[in-house]
Amino acid sequence: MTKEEILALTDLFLTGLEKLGPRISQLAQKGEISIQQQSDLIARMSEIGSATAFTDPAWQPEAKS
Amino acid sequence: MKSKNLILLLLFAFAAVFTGCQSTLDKSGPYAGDQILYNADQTIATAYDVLDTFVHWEKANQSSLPKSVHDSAEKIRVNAPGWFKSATNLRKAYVAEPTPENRLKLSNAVGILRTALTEATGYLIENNARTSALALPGSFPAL
Repeated sequence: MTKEEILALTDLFLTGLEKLGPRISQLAQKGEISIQQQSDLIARMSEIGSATAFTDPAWQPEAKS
Repeated sequence: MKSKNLILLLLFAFAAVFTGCQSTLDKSGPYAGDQILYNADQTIATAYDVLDTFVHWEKANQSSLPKSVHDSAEKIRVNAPGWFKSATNLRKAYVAEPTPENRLKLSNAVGILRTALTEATGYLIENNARTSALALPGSFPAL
């Protein structure tokens, strides 16, 4: 994918920002994010760092013979 | 509808990572103007959501996808837990001690995640039409 295609997709997406909830709205605020949004991000990273984040079968590599 | 959701997911990922990199943070905000830390948080969270979607999608559609997609998914399955662990640990180190050295280490770790995110997104876009629908991760906003 070229940089131009990425930018085109991003432009297309930004036209529909209002419909996509609080995580998106922070992008529309030109970086002025709230403490709540920061807390949400940190909580999300905590989930990612938890023992269960990669235990789903879809995350298991094929066994090598 | 599922395809529409997938495209929106991918657009979200691009916007979150690339728009986030271009914005200017308020110095009085919770990140105190620290763009590096904000970009790291945004990229870590977004990369997990997209890579999680990617490995589920690849597993569900393995028989109809090119080998290159499978190889990419396997690489992510093997390495991504370490990438995320490294990024989150380096984030903690940077928050505790925001030195130029720690900033560089964090930026490099985030760069690895961003590369994987871009690769996975590219495969999803290229191959979405030939695969069955996939569910969005629960963390994504309702569409």
